[in-house]
Amino acid sequence: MSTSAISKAPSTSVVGASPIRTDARAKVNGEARYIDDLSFVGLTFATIVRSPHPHARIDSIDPSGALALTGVHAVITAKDIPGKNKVPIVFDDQPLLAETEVRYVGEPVAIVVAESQRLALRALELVRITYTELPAITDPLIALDPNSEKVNPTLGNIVAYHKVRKGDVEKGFAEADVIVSGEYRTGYQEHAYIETNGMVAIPEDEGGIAVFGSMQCPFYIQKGLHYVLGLPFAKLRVVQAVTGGAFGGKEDAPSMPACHAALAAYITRKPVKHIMTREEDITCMTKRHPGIIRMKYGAKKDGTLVACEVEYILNSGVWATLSPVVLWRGTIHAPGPYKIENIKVDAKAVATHTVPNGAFRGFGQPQVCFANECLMDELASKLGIDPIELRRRNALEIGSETATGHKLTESVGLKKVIEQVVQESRWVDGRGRKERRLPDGRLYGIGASTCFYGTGLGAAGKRLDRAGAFIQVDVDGSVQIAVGTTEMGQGHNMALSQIAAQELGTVAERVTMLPVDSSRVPDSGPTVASRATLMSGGALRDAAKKIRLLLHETVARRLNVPIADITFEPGTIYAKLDAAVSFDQAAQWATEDRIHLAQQGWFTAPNTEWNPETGLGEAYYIYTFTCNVAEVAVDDETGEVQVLRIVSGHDIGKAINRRESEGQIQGGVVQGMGYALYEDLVEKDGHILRPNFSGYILPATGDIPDIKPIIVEEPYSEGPFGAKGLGEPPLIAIAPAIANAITDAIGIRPKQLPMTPERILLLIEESKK
Amino acid sequence: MFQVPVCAVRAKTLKDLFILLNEGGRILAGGTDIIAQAKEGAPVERMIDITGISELRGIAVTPKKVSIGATASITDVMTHPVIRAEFPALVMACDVFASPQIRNRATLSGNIANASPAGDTLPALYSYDAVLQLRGKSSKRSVPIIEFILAPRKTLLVPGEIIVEITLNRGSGDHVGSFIKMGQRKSLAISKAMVSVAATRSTSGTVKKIGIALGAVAPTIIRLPEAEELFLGKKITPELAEEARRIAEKTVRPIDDIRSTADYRRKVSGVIVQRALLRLASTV
Amino acid sequence: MNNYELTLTLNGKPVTRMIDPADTLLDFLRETVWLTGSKEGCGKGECGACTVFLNGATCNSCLVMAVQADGASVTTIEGLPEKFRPLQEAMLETGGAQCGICTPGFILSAVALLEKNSDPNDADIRTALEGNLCRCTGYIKIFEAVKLAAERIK
Repeated sequence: MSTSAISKAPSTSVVGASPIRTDARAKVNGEARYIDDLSFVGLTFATIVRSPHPHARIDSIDPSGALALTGVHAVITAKDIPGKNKVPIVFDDQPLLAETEVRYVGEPVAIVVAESQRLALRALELVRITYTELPAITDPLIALDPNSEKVNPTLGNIVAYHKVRKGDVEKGFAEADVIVSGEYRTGYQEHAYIETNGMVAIPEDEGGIAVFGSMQCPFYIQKGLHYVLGLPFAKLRVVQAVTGGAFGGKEDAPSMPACHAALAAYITRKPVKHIMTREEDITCMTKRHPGIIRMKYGAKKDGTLVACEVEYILNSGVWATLSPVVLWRGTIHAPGPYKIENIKVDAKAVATHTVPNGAFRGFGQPQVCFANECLMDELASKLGIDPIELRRRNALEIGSETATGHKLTESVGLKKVIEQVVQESRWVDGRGRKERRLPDGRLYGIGASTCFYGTGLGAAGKRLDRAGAFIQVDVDGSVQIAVGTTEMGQGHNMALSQIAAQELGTVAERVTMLPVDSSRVPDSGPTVASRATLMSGGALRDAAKKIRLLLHETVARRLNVPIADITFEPGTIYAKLDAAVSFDQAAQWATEDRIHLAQQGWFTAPNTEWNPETGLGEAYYIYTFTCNVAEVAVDDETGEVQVLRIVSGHDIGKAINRRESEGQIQGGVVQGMGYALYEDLVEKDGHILRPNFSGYILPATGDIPDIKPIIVEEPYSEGPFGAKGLGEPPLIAIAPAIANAITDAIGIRPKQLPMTPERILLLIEESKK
Repeated sequence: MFQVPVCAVRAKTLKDLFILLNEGGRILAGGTDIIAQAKEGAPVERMIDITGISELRGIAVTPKKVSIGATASITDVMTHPVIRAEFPALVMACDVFASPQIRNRATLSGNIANASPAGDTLPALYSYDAVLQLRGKSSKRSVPIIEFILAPRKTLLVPGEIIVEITLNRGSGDHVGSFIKMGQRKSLAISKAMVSVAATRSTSGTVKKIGIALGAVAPTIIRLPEAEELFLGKKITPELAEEARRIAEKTVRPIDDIRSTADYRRKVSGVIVQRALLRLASTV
Repeated sequence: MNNYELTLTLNGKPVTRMIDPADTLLDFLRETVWLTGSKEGCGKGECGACTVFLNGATCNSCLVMAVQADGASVTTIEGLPEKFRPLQEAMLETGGAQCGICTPGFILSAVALLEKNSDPNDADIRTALEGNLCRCTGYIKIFEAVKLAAERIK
């Protein structure tokens, strides 16, 4: 009888531990197949003819030169599109291929399909397009002028507007003892995933199209294909390839290359690969919106915040893409994680003749968080209160209301995070130092920031906030799982394997994640907003619970014990105290007994209620809380800033995989540091200058500070094992922590990102005048 | 992948090379710059690879000079014991040159022939008065580097001519040097300002010979003869370093570009000149 | 046009192929011999995702013309010597690979370090890896992996 041979499950694979991620082995061996590593018989290659102008009329398109080249199969323009020439995201305003006008540098005009990548590249310049240049508006403040030309032909120049009206802001400021205000500006940020965007489209049997590619959101792409090709969803299969980083940049934007490749495959009836060059990717794909934030806080002498007023302007680029929801998230979080009774926020996304901006880790929060957290330090300094103490006094806690009047009832770990970060950092010693300079002569500074982050899509994306999952247990006890959210490097597959294993009663090493395929799992919404662990985790638990019950019933029946006697731990099912069978044995019994060990699961996000007129309500169902402390050294002769150490703490409910959670924090901190100091995407008259990695500077190995991740677990009752979300928070409030540290060092405040040495040196000189 | 038509041919001997060069084409050595340029659409229809030519390899040392072959890599240069002992500023420049992968391929000759004002090894080579040996099919000449580079991306090389060797003259005394590069990040950076100071001192610590050169702050690398004269026969002191800083600030002719501003470059030119000199003061 | 006969030692084995002299070494590896572990992240030597060994030294294979590898010895991630397997294991254990697209390049740069220096300090590791960009991890777990591997390989 097999009940005796029980191998104890390694405790490393359960929720909360750090099992080695199952997707990583192929990656370290060089065997993982990213989209450009896939090939198909008869493969052809697509390249895109793009606008060289920020705004121009298309007078003519002559493909004859390209078509005359042997091996060029087709040149496709807007008139060849069988469905709608629209790529849908929030509004249907973005064309797949420009028809009569181009409105940003890099806007697609035609698709070249050729038998080799080299030929497809060379044929690009043989497609002759004549343009008449038109005046371009690239500054959002000019676009806001009511007399300005209409930039976005369908939506006008304000593509989105949101507001919050809470209490009486005028009365609040009247009652304040101290008022601080300021204008802050933030630059573009490029995602700079090391794998550029790429897609392969293949004509399928029965007239369908399959698209494989690097992506975050297969279901957005599926909808785009439905629009462009006019085919039913059921004929459109979208499969994610191993994806080499995304950070929001592969949320909405890949719908464009996916539809380009699919259109080419649909028309030529050949498999088509479309891989972007780095320059093309930086020039044409979405980025973090540049922002202008004007902000004002009012407080009592004891530091109690009484009023907050915010004006928030984002440069949307020409098309709306995700700007309305990016702006919404920024609007909701603008006042910071504080109890404030009187709040007024006005936020606009403005169209300009520049590349459309879109989702990027933090999603409209980093810009406004830079402003609000810098201003909190200004307030602290004016009040003579320690900056962390000021935050502590105003911090959200259980029972308090967020900026939108959402009363918090559970999982509010902000104060706990602050305490732990203060303890782990040199906050007390650093602030109390006697010596302004380090032994090497540089100025030392220390600064803090806090933020909160609504997990999931929230009230704005409520209709999309559900997820499906599929689990199948095979005869040997091995497990296949499938979900509709995606792994792009963040550890999604491992975290979900752990959740599925834990709920099934096996170990994560026995779980295999299937590639995300729109034909296997129904639309589960996008993999964004730090929602995948919670949403797909919830759906997997739903499916796993059904299977676990079937297995337990099987064991009870086989061993002839009442179901109430069944207990389990990972890998083992106990019938009573002295009888145990392995999970694998139970799976074999169930299979023999013709039990259906394949189940679907579903999870619907907890409800949110929202009033768009007042901007009040439960914006999100739960929040993650963050506190950072940064230490810097500033060379006051060169303006160079070196980040020495960052302690970054987050209340995430539950760390499903501790190592990968730390990895998310370290990675997010470094991206935030890049945003703060190095990453300067230079746009001039609508053109992005030097769109490559020598023009756009990412932090490299020499720039990395000591980073101490801190995880606080205040469990969330609806989350899998208490988990909330972690993907974005580590990036959001890094720039203000560094800015506050720089201010502490040099005595004058930088108000523009990135804080390059050129800008810092000017400030230092100004302060000496 | 190249958008422009490109092809590469290999030369096996110098004789081969001059025949191939006669038919047209550009020299391909490490390739770290020319291939990147070709990918950006530079008209590089034909590249002639010289890495297979044995005459151009290696680093040779005689009592009077060090001769660096055209295909010696930056890594070869920075790990060479004589260069490490006697040309420290060049070694420091190589240390902060791009990345290990690029240092393993890139060559001094390529860095020189490119004539970018931001070429990392150039200030060091200027500060050591490097001399270039040029060869054509039937010509041979020696040119000091300062005369060789005329303007950004413009040199004295005539069609059919190549740099075969870089010569550094050896001298007696205590060889000290310092090199400071300002980049947009700590590693893997393109310079926005840099300085090389190469000095030889007598046993008493006075300066026998000194070269101070700045990069990325003028259309070509510039030397600071006025500042150099301050130090001849003297010890390097903080006062003189301060004076050199002022001279640097008024000599440079920087521009605004994507990496920095003219104003910033002017200020930090002075700062890095002073610091580079102070580092030598402290080594006495 | 495939009119150049390229012969080299690839991952320890002799290989001869007709290639287009317009191919880079990376093009050759990925498209002629289908070794796709070397990745193209930028095409300009700025990210290190295409790092391979050429005659014993690392290079960006996107900045080497394939013809330059004629007669040379080339090692890619697929031919990583057995001795350095612990480096791959260490990357798994520390969490040094997230999206993984940069990982083969980092591993080869780390091998170049460990071949010369069996006991690298933090500064040595940072310098050895300075030609490789990673956008996911913040690098720290990669540094830890190299340290761990060094201890085990010693």
